[in-house]
Amino acid sequence: MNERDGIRLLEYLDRRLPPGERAEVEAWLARDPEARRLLAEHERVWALLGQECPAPDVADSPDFRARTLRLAEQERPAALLPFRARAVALLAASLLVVVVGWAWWSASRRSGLSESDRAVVGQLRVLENWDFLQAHGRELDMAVKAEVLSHLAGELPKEGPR
Amino acid sequence: MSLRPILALSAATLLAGFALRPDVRPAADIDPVIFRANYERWQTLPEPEREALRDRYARFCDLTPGEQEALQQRADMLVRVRGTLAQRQGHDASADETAAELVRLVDRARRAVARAPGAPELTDSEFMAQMETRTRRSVAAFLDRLAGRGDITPQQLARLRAQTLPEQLRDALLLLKSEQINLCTEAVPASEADELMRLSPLDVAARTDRLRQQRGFLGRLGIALPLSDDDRRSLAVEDGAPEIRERLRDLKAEQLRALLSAKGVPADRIDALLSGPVNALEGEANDLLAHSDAR
Repeated sequence: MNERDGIRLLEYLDRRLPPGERAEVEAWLARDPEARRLLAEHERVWALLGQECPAPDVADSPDFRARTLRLAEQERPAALLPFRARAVALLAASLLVVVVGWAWWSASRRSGLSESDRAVVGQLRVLENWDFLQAHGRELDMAVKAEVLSHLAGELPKEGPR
Repeated sequence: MSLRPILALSAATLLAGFALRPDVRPAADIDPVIFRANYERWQTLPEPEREALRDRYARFCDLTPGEQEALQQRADMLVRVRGTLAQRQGHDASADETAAELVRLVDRARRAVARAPGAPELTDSEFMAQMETRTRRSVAAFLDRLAGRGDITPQQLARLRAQTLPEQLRDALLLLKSEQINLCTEAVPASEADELMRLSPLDVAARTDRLRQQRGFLGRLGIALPLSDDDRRSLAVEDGAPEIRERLRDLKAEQLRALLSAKGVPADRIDALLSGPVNALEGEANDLLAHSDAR
């Protein structure tokens, strides 16, 4: 008698064996007293378990599934918005997230400019052309003065005869 | 389902986002348009170049306010010269082309400095000294005229006179811009006057000269004495010709005299106006015509 034999006897007892195997077990029980003794033990344990833990007294209900689904449907909270409105709201929320994200990214990029760099950026025209402005300062100064003089032409009183 | 509400919502959200977009704050006293352009440029510069510019800025800060102003005026002039060259040539000017154009401008200024016939040509130092003196005197005369008209107070005049020449140039040009825009508002649409506000003083001066060429004098005087087609043809720009304002005044001298005389201006005052700066003539005639129209 091994473990497999014990399991087979339990399955026999539970009526879970197919008819062919059941006939084999009955033939085995007829010729083996040890098998009959083990089966009797299983039956006794089974009977004791049945006394301590009786099966619940529940009647079959053919419409159980339908009633359960109906109850679940009634208890589900109603949607605040219809489906299309929810789609629009979702889209708007996504758009808002994108715009806020972009604004934050833009701000973080721009706020990278320190106070001192802001002053440098303000004078970029001068600073980038520094060498040219130094090398051609005289000509540029004359060009500035010439243009100013042209716009202030006539401001000076006319000179008398030389 | 209609896409219209979704599109409208998207557009509204994007517009609101753009309107509320945090912007970079420009440095004090810098035109926000220029600052934005500078900032876009700054974004493209690699860090070593930025570091070099920071070093230069430290040297710039060591200069006096007058020297800083002079450098800024040079840089503005450089931008204007490059812009003119790019427009003329159809491509960005190289450093050599810019330098050659500057030499040409200085030569033209040298020729414009009047000398007695037969006198020896001015040396470089004489020419520079003469330009300096003329500029100082012209600016001083301009400021005196504004003070005489009550456009600036004696205190403002004293403060302006105490400045270095580059600082005086800056402030005088701002005052000239203000004077010219005031005159322009009499005769040009509000949108055009608003556009002038955004330009630099030298750009405004150049723009108002073009307006004079197209429409005649600024302000009410231009309305009272409009240009004919023949006038416009005779005012066509020729290189080396007298400045547009003087040519316009000379062209309209007789009509000016008749108009001012009809408004009761004494003959000696008319003579003074016709021999003085055109800016002053336009301003005084504008006031006169405004009072006359109000009666």
